[in-house]
Amino acid sequence: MKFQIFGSVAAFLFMPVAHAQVSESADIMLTIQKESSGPAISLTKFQDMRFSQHELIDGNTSYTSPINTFCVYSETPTFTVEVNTANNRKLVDSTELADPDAIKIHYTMGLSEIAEDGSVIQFLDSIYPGHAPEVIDISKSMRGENCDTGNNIGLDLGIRKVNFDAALEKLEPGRDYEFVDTITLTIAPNL
Amino acid sequence: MNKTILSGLSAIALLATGAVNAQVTESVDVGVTIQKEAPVVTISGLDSAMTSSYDGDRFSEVLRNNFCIYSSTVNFSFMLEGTNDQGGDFFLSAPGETLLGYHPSLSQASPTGNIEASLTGELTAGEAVSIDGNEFVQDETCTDYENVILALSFYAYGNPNDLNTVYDSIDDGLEHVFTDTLTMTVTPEL
Repeated sequence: MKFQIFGSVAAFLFMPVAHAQVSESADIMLTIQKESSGPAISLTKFQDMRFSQHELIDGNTSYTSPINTFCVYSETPTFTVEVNTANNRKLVDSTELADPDAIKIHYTMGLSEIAEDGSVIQFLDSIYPGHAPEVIDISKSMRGENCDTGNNIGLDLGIRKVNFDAALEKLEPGRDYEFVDTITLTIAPNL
Repeated sequence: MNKTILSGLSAIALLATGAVNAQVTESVDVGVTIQKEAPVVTISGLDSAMTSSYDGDRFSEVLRNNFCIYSSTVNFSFMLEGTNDQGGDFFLSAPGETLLGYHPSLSQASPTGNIEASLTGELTAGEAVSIDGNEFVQDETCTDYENVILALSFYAYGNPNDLNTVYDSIDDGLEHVFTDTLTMTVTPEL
């Protein structure tokens, strides 16, 4: 007996393999918000103010300082001014700023529109710390960002004579006093 | 690699030889089916959104997305596409604003969730990058920790689409939302 393998076939079947692939998505969200730069406004040439007895002008009711002129430039026709003072609108001896019992001299503040030659065109308004911003219109006196032809606004201080005299009575003879305060003006375009 | 023999047949044809010159022949086919297990890749743990805001100096949130890639093959390819792609670059868009360019990259994550090593560098949109996952691929759901980080970065200045150039161009005080949708595709490499 002879066994014979006759005709054989070997078939290899490869299953087609799909290359697995996955995809996922993610959303990206970036928020950007920038404050608008708004109309330009500037305050320059605001300088220290100084009283001295010799500079005081004796009026019926008050002493006034020489007017302190400076430059405001605003792209808007009007702008607002807000004022704050370190000693609540009182001059205090520089060595006694922390002393609640220190001698104090009340003063007032006023703004004026200034001509190119330095003269006062018109008194604008009194300004007070803690009050709402005052709207100022000196649109006819805008002279560029640097007021090259002359400052356009002025600040003057006034001391009522009664307040000055009251303080004067309390001063110690032979001692130098330097009454000081710090005034901060904040201006903003009036939109 | 698993090999499964689904069927294996063999047959023997018997040839009986008698005194008579009679001969019969029979045959059968023999077949074997082999199926190689399909490679598996998965993406899991990907946050559906990456949200942040920019104030001209800092981002409120770091634009990173930690997630898990698993591949049954050592090597796999990674491809990223965004809806605003142009010339291989990625962009965020906001109505009426200049396109904002950004640069995504994929990195290996450390167990603490920080970037451990870059896997792709800055990606080109629509261009697959081959990655060797030998050192960081875990199980399919990354039981230990999410093993990769998709991070977005921005150039500050240099062309009209850079972050601060676009930021500087905004001057209306309004909120601008820049968006894009990224789609990532992972393909096993055999």
